[in-house]
Amino acid sequence: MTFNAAVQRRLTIFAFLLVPVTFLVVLNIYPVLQLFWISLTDFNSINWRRAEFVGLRNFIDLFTFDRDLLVPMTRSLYYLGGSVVQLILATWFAVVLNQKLPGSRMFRTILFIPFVLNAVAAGLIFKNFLELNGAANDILQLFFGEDFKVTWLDSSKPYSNLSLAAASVWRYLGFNLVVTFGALQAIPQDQYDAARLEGANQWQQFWRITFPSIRLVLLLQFMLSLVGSLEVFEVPMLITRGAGETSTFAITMIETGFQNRRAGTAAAMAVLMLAVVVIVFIITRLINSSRTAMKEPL
Amino acid sequence: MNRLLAAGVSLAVVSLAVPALAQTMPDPANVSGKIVNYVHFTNYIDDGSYDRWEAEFKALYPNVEDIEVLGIADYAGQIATRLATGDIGDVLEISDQVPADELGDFFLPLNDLGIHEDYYFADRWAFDGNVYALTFGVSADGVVYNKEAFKTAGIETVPTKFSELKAAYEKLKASGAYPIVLNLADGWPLTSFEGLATSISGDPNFLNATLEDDTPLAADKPWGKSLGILKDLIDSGLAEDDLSTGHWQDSKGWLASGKGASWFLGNWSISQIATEGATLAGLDNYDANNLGYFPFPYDESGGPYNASSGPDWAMAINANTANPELAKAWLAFILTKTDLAQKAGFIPGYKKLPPTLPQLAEFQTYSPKLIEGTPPLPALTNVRNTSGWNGGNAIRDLVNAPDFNAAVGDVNAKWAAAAARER
Repeated sequence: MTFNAAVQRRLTIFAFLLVPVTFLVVLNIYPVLQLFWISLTDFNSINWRRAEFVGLRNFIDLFTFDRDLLVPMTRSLYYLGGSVVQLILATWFAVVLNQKLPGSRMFRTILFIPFVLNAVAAGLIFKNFLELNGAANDILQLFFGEDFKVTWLDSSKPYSNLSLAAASVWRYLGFNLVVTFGALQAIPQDQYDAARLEGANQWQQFWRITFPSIRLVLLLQFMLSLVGSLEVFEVPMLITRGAGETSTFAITMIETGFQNRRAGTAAAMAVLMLAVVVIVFIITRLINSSRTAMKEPL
Repeated sequence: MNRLLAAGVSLAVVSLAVPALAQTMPDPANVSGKIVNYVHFTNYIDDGSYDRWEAEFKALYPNVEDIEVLGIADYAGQIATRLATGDIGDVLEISDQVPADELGDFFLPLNDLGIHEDYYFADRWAFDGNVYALTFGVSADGVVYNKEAFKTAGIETVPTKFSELKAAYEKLKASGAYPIVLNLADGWPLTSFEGLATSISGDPNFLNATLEDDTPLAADKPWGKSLGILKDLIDSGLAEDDLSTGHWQDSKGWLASGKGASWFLGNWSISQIATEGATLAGLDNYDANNLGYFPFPYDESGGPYNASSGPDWAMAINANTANPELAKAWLAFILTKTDLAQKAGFIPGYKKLPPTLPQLAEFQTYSPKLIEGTPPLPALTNVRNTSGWNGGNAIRDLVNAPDFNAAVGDVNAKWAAAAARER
C-alpha cells in the first residue's frame, strides 16, 4: 500500500502530534475542565457519588460567607515585593558577571545552584537557618551576645513573611540571573564600543543600551514573578507549615480542599486564582504592546 | 467506662500471652489468593513484624499466596485522595475521613466476623447496624513525663491540681528542661486539647453538643477552659522555646533524654519515645519505666480527673475487593491474633487482648474516669469543615493569633454561622 505525498505528510504530522497532544489533553485540559466542574459542585473530596451540582454557590460564598478564605491572598504582596528585589538583584548580578571578570562563571554557577536544588531541601535549609535555635541566630549571637534571639519565623507576626520572602528570593534569584544573562549575551558588543567612543559612562551604557535590549525579558520575568507570588506554596509550607500569618492562598486552598474536605470551595478558589492570573497576564500584554507601539528612537 | 482500663490492666498483670480465641473466622478452605493491604505502620514493615504476622497467617491459611503489605509514610495525607480514586487496595486503614452515612459506599460490613461484639469503639464506624471498620486500639490522653527529669527538678509527687502542675513546670524550667513540649507548629499534636475540652465537660457527647452552641469557645465553657490552659502554659513560657517551626521527630528524643520533661498526648506516644526517641537521643538500652503517665489536672479539685479516650486508625475492607474472604480473614487475624496493638502501646481494640504497656497501670492508680467520645455526627463534621474550627492547625492558629480574645470571637462567629447553615 502506498500513500501520496500529501497523505504521507499528514500522517507524519499526526504521528508526531499524537503523543504531545495526548499528554496535553490527559494531563492539562482534562484536569482543568474537571476543576471547573468540581467548582460547581459540593464534592467532599472523597465521594463522587454524593457530589451534587450547586451552580455558582461556591463562588458567591467566597465573597460572602467564606470571605476569610481570601485574606491570605494579601500575603502575596510580600512575595511580590521580594520578587522585585530579586529581579533588580539578578539584573545587577547579570550585568556585573557579563563584564567577563575573572571567576564570573563560578559566581554564576554558585548563584544558580539554589534554583536547581530540590525544593524540599531548600526549604529545610532555610528552616534550619532561620529557626529560633538556628544558624542565623547563632551567627548573630557571636556579635550581640548569648541572649540575642530573634523569632524570625513567628507566625503570629506579619514580619515572618519577610523571612519567608527572603528564602524565596534566595531560591529563585538564580533563575532570573540566568535568563537575564542569556539576554545580555545577545546584545551586539559593537553598540557598547560605539557608545564608549561617544564618551558614554557605565550608567548611560546600561540605561540606553542594556536596559532597552533586555526590557522584554525583564517584563516577562516580572510577569512570571507576579503569577508566582500568587501561587506561593512550598516555601511557607515547608518552613512554618503555613501557620497563622504565613498561610498563603495556595496553602489555604489545600487546607480547604483536603483537610476540611470542601473540594468544591477549594476548586472555586483555584478557578478564582486562575482568573486573577489571566487578568494579570492580559494587563501585562496590553502594557507591553502599547510600549512596543511607541517604540522610542535611539 | 473505667472497665476498659481496669479490665485491661488486670489482665496485663496476669498474662502477656495471646489467649486462644473463639470467633467466626473464615474457613481456611475458602481462603486463598492474594490481597493488598495499605498500612500507616511503616515501622512495622521495616522491623519485619508484618513479615512475621504474614508467616503466622499463612500457617493458619495454607492456600494463601500473598499478602502485599504496602506502607505509606504520609498515610493521613494520601488516604483521602486514594478514597476518591478508589485506589485503596483490598484492606486499608481509615480514621474519620468518611462520614458515617457514606461508609457503605466504600467498605464491606464486618458483622459476619463476629468480633465487633467484643470490641471498643465498634460503633465509631457503624451505620444502620453495619460495622464497617474496627480500630487497632484505644488511647487515652494524659501527661507523659520523664521521671528522671522530674526528680532532677526536685518534684517528688505527681501534680494533682493545675496550680501544682504549673509550679512543677516552673521548677522544671529552672532546671533547664522544657517543662511541656507542645509541638505547636506541627498543629496536630494540639488535638489533645480538644480531648481536654471533652474531659472538662465530662460528657462523652460533648463535641456533638457544641452543634447547638453559638459560642462554644467562650472562656467559661469547656472549650474555652481548655484553650485557656494551653494559652496560659504558652504565655508563662513553660513550653519549648521554639514554637514557630516543627520538630516532632526531634521532640521524641527530648522526652527520652529529659530535655523535654513532659507532653500531653495519648499512651500511643510512650512506645515512640522509648524506641525512636531513645535512638535519637543516643541512649542505648533505654529503660521505658523512666517514662510515667498521669491524667491532666485541669482544675483545682485535686481529682480524680476525666481523661478522654479515642480510637486510633481502624482497619476496613474495600467494598469492591475481588477477594473478600481473604480480606476478612486477614483483618480479623491482625486485629485479634497479633501483638500489633500491644506493640504500639494501645489498649487493644479487641477486648480479649490485654494491654501490655506498664504505664497504663500507673495511669490507673490515679483513678481517672475515661470518657469514650461518641462518634461525630455527620452534621458536626460538616460544621467543623465549614467553620474551619477543625483540628490541631486551627487550635495552633488561634492561640498564635496577635489578639487572642478577638480570634476567639472570630471562631465563635464562624462556628455560629456554619451551625446555622447546617440546621
